[in-house]
Amino acid sequence: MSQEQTEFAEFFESSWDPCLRAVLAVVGSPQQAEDQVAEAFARAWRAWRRVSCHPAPRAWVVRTALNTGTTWWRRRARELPLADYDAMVSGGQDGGLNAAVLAALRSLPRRQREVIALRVFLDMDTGEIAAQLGIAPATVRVHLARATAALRQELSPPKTQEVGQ
Amino acid sequence: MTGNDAMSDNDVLQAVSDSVSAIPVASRPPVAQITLRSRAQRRRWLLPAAGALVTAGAAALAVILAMPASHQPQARLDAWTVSKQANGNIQVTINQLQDPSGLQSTLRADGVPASVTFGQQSPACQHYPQPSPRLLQQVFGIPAPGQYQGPAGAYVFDIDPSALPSGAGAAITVLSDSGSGTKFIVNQDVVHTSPGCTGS
Repeated sequence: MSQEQTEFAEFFESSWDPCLRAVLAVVGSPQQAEDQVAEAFARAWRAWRRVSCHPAPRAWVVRTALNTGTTWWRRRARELPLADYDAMVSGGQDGGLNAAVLAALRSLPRRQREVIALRVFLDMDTGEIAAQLGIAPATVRVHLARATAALRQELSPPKTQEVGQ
Repeated sequence: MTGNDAMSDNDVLQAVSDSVSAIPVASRPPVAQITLRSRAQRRRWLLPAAGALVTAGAAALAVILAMPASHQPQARLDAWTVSKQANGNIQVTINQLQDPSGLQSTLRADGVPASVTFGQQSPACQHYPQPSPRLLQQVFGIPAPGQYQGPAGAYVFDIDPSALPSGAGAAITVLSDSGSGTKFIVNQDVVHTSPGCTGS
């Protein structure tokens, strides 16, 4: 195995899970996320010289996977309209909080989900997210604030009413 | 918890992390599956390009035939061919894994400081100065390392000598990849010129 193959294998093994979770947070469907992330890693290997020099190669994979998803989604949209996500939210998991979080996540605009995914799963700061998404850091902060506010509102239990004496 | 116990930002992000991480997913595929998929991508993407190449090749042939003899392709051998294009690029076509030193000599004679090896890159060659994707793109026109099974199983690529910085040369390493169904793997690199690597 060449040095490049070894480097790529190490990168792949350490990055698969965070990249998959980041993409999953945006697209919702495990099947779709796995396919897109595999496609993105294959592209990363094809352009490994370039990707290995990238300041954030995991973010490169996630962005590539999400861009790949545009095509994938167009192809699949008529066949699986969020079927996996719906099943996940309504049925699976341990019900309760997870289902509520996923439903709340799904209700966010895509850009907000992308910001959340990069922050949570790739541990990127505002500047790094801005660079990856090609938007201003202030815009990232706005997206993050709106997303967390919306999620908080969905996840916090309703206010208990104080009953008078 | 009441409304006054609103979750902090960190709590919200942690809840997202926990919930998405709890979604069952398939286990990580073996890396070999990814690299095989990469090869399939290349074939898929290059199929339409091959059609365009045939059309462009027919047009180029017409131009070559119209040229005076002194400007016609400089070398035509069975294992590989080297030809100078109208735009100054050197086009290399590899048909068989034979005579790397002959290909190297021909490229050097055409003004490309080159190292050509079949099997592994010459240990005398050193990257110039870091692997730069942009430079590789400029010199070779396609991402490197690359695989390309061209028409009739040949590997075809261009070298733009004018894109080589001062003190830089081209290192071509060709590997057999018959096991995967792809005939060649070709690594193109930009390296420091040196007597041991590029001959000067």
